[in-house]
Amino acid sequence: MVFYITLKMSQLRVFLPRLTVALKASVTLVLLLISFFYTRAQSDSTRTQCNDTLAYHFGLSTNLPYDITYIPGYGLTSIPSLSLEIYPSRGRWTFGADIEWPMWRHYDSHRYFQINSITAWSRCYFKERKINDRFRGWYGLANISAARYGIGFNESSGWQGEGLATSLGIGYKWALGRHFTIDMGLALGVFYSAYDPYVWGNDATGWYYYDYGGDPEAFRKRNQRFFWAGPTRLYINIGFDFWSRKRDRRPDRQ
Amino acid sequence: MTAHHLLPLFLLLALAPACSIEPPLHLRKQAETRIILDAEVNVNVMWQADWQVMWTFPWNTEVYGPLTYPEPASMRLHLYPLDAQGRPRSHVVNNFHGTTAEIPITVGIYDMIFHNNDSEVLLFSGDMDHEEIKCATRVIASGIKASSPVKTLSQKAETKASIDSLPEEPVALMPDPLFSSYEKAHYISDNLEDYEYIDGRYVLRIEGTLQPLSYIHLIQINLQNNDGRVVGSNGGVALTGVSAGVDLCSRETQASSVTVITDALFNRGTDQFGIRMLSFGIPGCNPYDPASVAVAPEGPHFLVLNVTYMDATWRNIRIDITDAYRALPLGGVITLDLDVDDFPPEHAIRGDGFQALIDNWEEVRGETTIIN
Repeated sequence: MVFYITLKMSQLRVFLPRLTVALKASVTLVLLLISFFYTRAQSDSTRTQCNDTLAYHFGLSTNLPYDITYIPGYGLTSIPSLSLEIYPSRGRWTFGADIEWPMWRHYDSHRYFQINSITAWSRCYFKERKINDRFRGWYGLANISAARYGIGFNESSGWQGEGLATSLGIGYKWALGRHFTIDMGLALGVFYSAYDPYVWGNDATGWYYYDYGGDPEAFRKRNQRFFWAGPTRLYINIGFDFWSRKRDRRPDRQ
Repeated sequence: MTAHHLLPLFLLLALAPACSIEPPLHLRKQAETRIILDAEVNVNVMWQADWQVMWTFPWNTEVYGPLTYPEPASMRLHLYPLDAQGRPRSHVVNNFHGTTAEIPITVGIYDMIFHNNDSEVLLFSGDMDHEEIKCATRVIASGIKASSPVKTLSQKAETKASIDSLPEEPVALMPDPLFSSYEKAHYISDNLEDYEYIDGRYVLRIEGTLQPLSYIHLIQINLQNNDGRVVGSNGGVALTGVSAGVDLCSRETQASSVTVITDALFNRGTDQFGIRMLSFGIPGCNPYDPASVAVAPEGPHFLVLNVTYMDATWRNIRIDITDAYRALPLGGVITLDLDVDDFPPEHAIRGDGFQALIDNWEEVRGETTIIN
């Protein structure tokens, strides 16, 4: 489970220099995409006739709390995340997918934070989308997730496993200008995982071992189970919507 | 730009989770190991090549046991799995009969210490620290004091016998034969190529060589001019200045010294004492290393022999055998020649106990009534 705290400026000063190159790269990638499409959109708008309509196709967003996250037992870290939302031309329903892929490895301190999570979801906006408008306002959501993970806090506390989650939630989305969005929500659900605890062997091989002391012949992988019911997702997404222009070519409009 | 234009980008990002989760995990496997220990005791090398010629005392093997080292009857294995820095992180003990056993051992790298475990005299200590497994014997008395220095025939000729008083050191039980083998950083592999396929299962073979860490000195004392005066030894014999114990890993003997005691057998036909004396050797050295022996603290080593005379009196005589003992750090035959004229009887046997050596004793029979 992921927990969040409010970062003080002093903590930020300590943490920011430690941001890894990968985190910077992911943030840079998102900003480059935003700037590229925003520039193109602005360029297009200079040629736009005022009677054109905008067709929103999809939006990309990232979960801000994930970008700087505190994991008890592990410490400050970042969970690079990307969310895609597909916008149908009309109606209340949208569809999307999230991925989270932190792959942090600190071999010296035996700390690992690796999560490969894919989530498919659907939203039902309370307000129906109209022509030349965007999906926004309150919505309900349902999702299903699949994840694998390898998390290690120290030489004697580590877990590797796979899990499935499903949840229901509610959220609110703001549209900022023609492109940007802010999306907040909370989901409650269940998470079920099969996992293996592991420990560092502290032997000459340097290996990590399943934390299992029984008969090796009787060993089966993923023989531990974890079940969680409660909050499964908290997000404050900042996003960018992509649209195309539909020129109204009706004769009476020329 | 439409949705399908960005799908490849999204898929590429989705491929990022395809990276493998680390670290790879292993199962602590147990390997069936066949331990084969060879008690490599070649006394012709350890002692003297012609020791059997030198040793003339008629030793009754059936009564007194073998002169040399017997095969260990049971063994103890100390396993020290090593951590990433090569330090032992725990300690596991296995006992088994004989010098061959099959036991399961978890795969890993170990320091192994084998030693025989068939003696009630040998006391082991410090086995939680693999560099500190020591063996010693129990102290039984405060020392031997009453004795008279006697020179052997050769010492009289060379006039080099010590007349120093006995060292103030404790008397300890004579050790039994002690064998040990120290295998450093032995890899218990999980690679089946390292195994032997025996009777339908894979067995890892571990071979080690046991070497003695207590040393046998065969001491024979030839009495000159005895004429039947010395008839045996009731008090036995003591050897002073030997090491109190030994470190099983380094083979270094302890610097502190003790006196060990044993029986002295007397053969009236040849006027000869025969003594099989075991000890941990010269204090403060590795007896297998001549350089270490050369710089070991010097003795002295006295042999204190209790002799019993025909007239039932007795006497402790003290013989300096420092040179002979240090010349044989791994054991061997020491021959001494003594002139009985040099040590006439000193003490009469006190008390009214049964005196087997007194002639003309008379058997008296009677009845005693015990009233409750």
